[in-house]
Amino acid sequence: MATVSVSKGVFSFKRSKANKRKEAASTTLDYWTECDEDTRDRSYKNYVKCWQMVTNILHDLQSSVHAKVFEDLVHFIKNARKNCSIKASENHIESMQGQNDIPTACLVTGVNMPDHEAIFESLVRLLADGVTPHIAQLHSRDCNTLRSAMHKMITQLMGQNDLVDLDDEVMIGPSIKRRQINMTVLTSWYKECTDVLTQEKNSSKLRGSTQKATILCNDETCKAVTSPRKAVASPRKAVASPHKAVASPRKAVASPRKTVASPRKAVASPHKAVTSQFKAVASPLKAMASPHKAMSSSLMAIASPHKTVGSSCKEMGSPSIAMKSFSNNGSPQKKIKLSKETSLPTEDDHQPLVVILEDVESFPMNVLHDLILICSEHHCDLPFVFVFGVATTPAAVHRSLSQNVSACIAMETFQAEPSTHFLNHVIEKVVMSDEVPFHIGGRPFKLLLDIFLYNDLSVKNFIKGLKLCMMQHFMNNSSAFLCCPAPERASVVRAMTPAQLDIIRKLPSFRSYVESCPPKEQAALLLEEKVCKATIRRLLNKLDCWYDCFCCLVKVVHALTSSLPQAPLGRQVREVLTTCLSHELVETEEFKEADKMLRLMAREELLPIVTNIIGILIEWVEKDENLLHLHDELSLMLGRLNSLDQLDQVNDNSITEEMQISIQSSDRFHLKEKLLEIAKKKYKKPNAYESLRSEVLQLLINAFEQLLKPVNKQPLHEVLFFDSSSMVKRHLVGMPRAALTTALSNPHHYLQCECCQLEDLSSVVPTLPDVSVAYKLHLECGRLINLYDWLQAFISVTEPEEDTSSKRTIDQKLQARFAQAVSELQFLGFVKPTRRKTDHVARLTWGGC
Amino acid sequence: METRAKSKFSVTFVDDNLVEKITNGTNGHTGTPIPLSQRGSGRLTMGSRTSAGDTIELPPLQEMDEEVVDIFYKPTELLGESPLKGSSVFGFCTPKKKWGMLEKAESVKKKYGSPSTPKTPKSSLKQYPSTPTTPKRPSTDSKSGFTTPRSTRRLSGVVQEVRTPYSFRKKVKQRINKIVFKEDSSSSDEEDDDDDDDDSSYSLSEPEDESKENIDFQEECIKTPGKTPKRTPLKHSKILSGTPGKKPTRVLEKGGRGRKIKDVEMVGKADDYFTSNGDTGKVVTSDHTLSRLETPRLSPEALQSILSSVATSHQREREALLEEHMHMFPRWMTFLCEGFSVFLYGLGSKKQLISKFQQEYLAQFDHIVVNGFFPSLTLKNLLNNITEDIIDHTGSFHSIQEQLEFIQGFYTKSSAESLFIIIHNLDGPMLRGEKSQSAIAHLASIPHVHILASIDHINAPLIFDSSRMSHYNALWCDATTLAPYSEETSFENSLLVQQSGSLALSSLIHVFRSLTPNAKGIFLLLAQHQLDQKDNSNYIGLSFNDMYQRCRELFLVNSDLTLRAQLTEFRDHKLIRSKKGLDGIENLVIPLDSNILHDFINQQESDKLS
Repeated sequence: MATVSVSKGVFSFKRSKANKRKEAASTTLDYWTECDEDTRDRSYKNYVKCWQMVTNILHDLQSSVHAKVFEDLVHFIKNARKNCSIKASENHIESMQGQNDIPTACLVTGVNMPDHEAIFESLVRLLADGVTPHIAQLHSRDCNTLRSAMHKMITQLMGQNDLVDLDDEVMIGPSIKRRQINMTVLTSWYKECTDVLTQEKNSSKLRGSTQKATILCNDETCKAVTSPRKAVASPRKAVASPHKAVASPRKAVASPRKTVASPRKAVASPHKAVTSQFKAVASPLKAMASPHKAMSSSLMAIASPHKTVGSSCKEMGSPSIAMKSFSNNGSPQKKIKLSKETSLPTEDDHQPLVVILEDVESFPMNVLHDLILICSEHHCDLPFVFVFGVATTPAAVHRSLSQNVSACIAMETFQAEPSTHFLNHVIEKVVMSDEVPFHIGGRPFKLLLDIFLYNDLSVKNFIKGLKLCMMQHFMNNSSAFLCCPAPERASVVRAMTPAQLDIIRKLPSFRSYVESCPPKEQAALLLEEKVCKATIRRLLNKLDCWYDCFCCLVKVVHALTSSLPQAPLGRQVREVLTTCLSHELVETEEFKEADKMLRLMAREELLPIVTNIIGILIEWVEKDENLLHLHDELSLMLGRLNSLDQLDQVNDNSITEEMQISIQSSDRFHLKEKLLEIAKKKYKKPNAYESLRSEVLQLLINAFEQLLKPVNKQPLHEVLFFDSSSMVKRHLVGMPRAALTTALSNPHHYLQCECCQLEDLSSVVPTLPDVSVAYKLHLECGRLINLYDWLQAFISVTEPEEDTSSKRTIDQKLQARFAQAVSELQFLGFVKPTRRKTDHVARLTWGGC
Repeated sequence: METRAKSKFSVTFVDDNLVEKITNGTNGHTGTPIPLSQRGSGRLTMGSRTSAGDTIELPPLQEMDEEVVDIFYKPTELLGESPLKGSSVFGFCTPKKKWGMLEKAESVKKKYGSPSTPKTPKSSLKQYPSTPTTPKRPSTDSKSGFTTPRSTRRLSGVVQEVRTPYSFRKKVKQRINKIVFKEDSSSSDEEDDDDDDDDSSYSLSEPEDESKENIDFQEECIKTPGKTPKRTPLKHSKILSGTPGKKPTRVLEKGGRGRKIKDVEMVGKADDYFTSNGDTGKVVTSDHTLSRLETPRLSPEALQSILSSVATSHQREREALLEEHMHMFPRWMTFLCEGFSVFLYGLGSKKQLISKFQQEYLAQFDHIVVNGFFPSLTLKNLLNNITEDIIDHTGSFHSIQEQLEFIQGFYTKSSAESLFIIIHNLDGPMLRGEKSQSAIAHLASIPHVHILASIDHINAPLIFDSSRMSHYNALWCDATTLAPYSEETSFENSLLVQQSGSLALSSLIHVFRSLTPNAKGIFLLLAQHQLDQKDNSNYIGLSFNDMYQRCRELFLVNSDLTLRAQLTEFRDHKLIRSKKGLDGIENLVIPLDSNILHDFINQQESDKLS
């Protein structure tokens, strides 16, 4: 197990075959040791279930949240080519221009880089589903040179890439040699693809004859199958024949001999796929020897490529683009039936080649230039469509591309939804959901929000934090075994052992609940298992209901206060939720302020708000009677508000008169006092609307008071709510720098020894670790440090009795310790050697103590 | 001049009552829920605050007609309530004083030196020129302090360019802390005692120093109440409450390692950069060099041997720390299995800790250990180890990308077995680069690949950008061990260690094994000869002609060309060194100690026998 060596930096340890154990056993459960033994399995199961639920919800959300912009994008890509060809038919000169402009969609995704992967993933899925099988996804990390970028693009477009990856066994010759991957190959390949499509479409009428045609020309197919290299090696030849086929498709159908050229190729590629997976086909040599046999097997392969490829897709879990394209080639008939494209005019057989550049800004500029120029060169043959993922603004693309390059692209901008929008959905569907039994408490939720808003704006990281919270909850909280989906709860509670029951009984919230019960029940709860279990069940169900009601009221509060000036409670539901989760809403300063403003609200403003609130409440009325009650009363008041007539017009006159009187007074001070007085008087006489308004508000506030209690007031909240942020924070927000400087300046913080306590952080004690002493001394210096002086200072700190400054000899031990300390500081990046002065080091940090 | 200074200046502290008023005022103000943005814009509120505190309650109507500004959403959970919390970690200091370091060391000496040999402060000052007399610190500096009119002492905000020594400022801060703290904590008797000690300790210092301190201190006084009358005391009180204070630790010392270590807090103070780098003045350091010592540099071997003999301090506490971290192992493993990476940070070598983890938990899995601090590590090494040793793949790859894709393809399969990658020092010199980082991040994002890494460099987090970080999907763990970085630093060319070009025995044996039998013979012959001559102090090496003659006799070479070719190879591997003698004849030496050579020959003989 030695991992120390002067000649090697990497050591691999392959698991010995002897102690190979069942893979199934090595799950997380083995390490789930922090909670009690008997609740462990249950908690883990609950965790897995909860997380599964959340991932499912998120998965649905992911595709739906960008639905709008994706719809536009897909529409754009679908029509990109058509626009071009229409232009071409209309006007010849214009067509020249139109042909060279590559339609480009510029998808502005925002600065939340971590989320982009998921966005593009769902975009690709969407495109592959209905638009085109030819999609290439390029990352800047793969495209450092033009060659690698081209290779990546072409292999992906042709669907070669995945093949290479899947082939663990010997490949039957690399499908296409690296060097031969170029635009010519792509062009010819694409021609054949489209030919197959057009041809098959024609042949759907004359299905029988085409089949025959394929069978007739067995010798050629055979060659194609056995020596794909050859087929590719002479792309010219291959190109030559399809040209003819294109020229006269009808003729091609008429003379079966010529049509072969294209299906041959189509066969060649799925064949490879099949061999790699099934090894049904013998080695190429054998195939050469007995062409007939090979032919039959390859025909089998042709006959069932769709099936096999389809099944392999399923096996892989994520249907790859490549496979899709094969299935299209392999069973064009099916494809025709499936896709709507084919019902459109013939131009649409030219499926666009979509090239997605996920992070355009970080591409090397010269590569991007050349890539675009090359693509535009071939644009007449190959209908490219670019999709640029831009994190900043579309202007960034223009700024970085030179004029002649940006002239080649016709860019259209699409704005993706901001990540806050997605976050709101996540909060709505996951955090405030009634399906997921796990809920997050106020402090961790605030922490996750803070990280989101102040660090990265990334929903992915928010979800990561959520997952960590969930893990923490199920791992550390022994009562979490009860935190299961509501339908299962009955059985779980029934199956509780006495020990588990004790865990619940020990929960502080349950204890305080017991104490609030009458004495008789108290005894029953503590002693009788049945009573206790029934109570637990009841309480948990109640907690669920309460949370539903809570979430609804949070939305009500949001509707009520979000439009207020300065929005004291925040403009987003999440902000209201944070406040409500951890504080009693009615008590908070923010709410009091909002209340003040609400009490001054005009009728025109209040009416829509109340209608809005009723709209929110109506969804929940069946679930909770409190809400039903609230809803009914509010509707009544809304009716009254609407029918309110202007009774108090008369009163106003007197006030205005009074005002006029007061204005006459000359003294400023008096005027002020009078005005205040008037204001007070006015306040004293509320009109009908005002009294009604305060009635409405009072009703709502009473409801808030009653139902919007913070989480930790609820009995058994520990089971469902996770409410500690420190542990999560420690793991999510790493503070390597602070930890390092703290350990250096105050080692006592970590060591907790008796000798190293410091009165203040800048003082030095001889017993400190060497590196700490050296660190503290170096803090006193400027940008350069004299090693000799440093050494002397070090010695006088560590060995105060010794006076070595004049001597030439010093204790070797001390010198060695100092040398080690300095090289550690160098390793940590505080100092580095410098040549500016002999025996000096440069200091690399500033400040600190 | 010095005596005059002494007579003229006296230290006056800010009145307790005044401070109390100030803190109460500010506290009272922050208690109101008026948002920050509003506070700045409302001129009226400002005025009322300064004049009469917060007694005037403004009618709500007046606030309404201000422009609509949202209340800032404050990251209270992320950064804590007070933005100043933890600023002590990155507090301001960096006096560029010539003798700052030595003075500090001296002060410690004074404090902890044995009472039997009391040293007069004068003697220490004889060795180092006292600060005011250094040419870098012109006397006008101190004069400006003297000439300040007394009347400005309290309130004028005269900004003076005199640099205050760091330690002194610290003391002042402490004093202010104390003043503020007195009101907060009634049970601060202990601290008072401490401070009394402090007083006595620096009132004892000799007059010159004192006068200087007085000046500085006075300036501090002027600045503190004059310029920032409100904030300073408040800030200090917050610092105190924010940092791991004295009181909790004191309680704990009896219980030993009773509790978990508190989290550290941090807030960077970027402004300090400009204060420390703003003036482009020359750096002031002494001209001493290490050659003043008898042994300026230790040899690496000597260093190792000495260090191994030195007992490490705090052994028990370190073990306790390690023990504490080992309790986290199941948690790490859980994180890893759930698809997170784990990053360990903190002072001290984490190699031992991680090796323990590896032994206890990873024996059942395929895993790879990468020494990031290894100076000739390459990304290719890492990937090759995965593809060749773990996957048993025999093909070669055109590029790193292709290899990565292959690995990804292999490990995305649901049937794939987990692979754990342990990286000691993810921030190591060879892994810092853009390319290797993105490759490793890519590895980390593969489903069945799990990464556990340690980082040590102070600026390490800078190598992770947000998208890379999300690929890593990392969770941070504080794993401060305070263990010496002996292995990690062994590759570093330290300044204080002799850089000998000599070979280590192990590498000699390594190269030797790859030689042909004849070449081995040639080398052994030379080695034997050198050993025979080890007592001869005038030995300059075996001359080429002699060498040739001897080799011929033993049938090791047939022409001098072959011998020359052989010697060139040795020279390339640094096995031998050739020197031209006085007579122009080439002499060959093996640049090794005779005892190492002896070991080597013995080993070769024993190998031959076995």
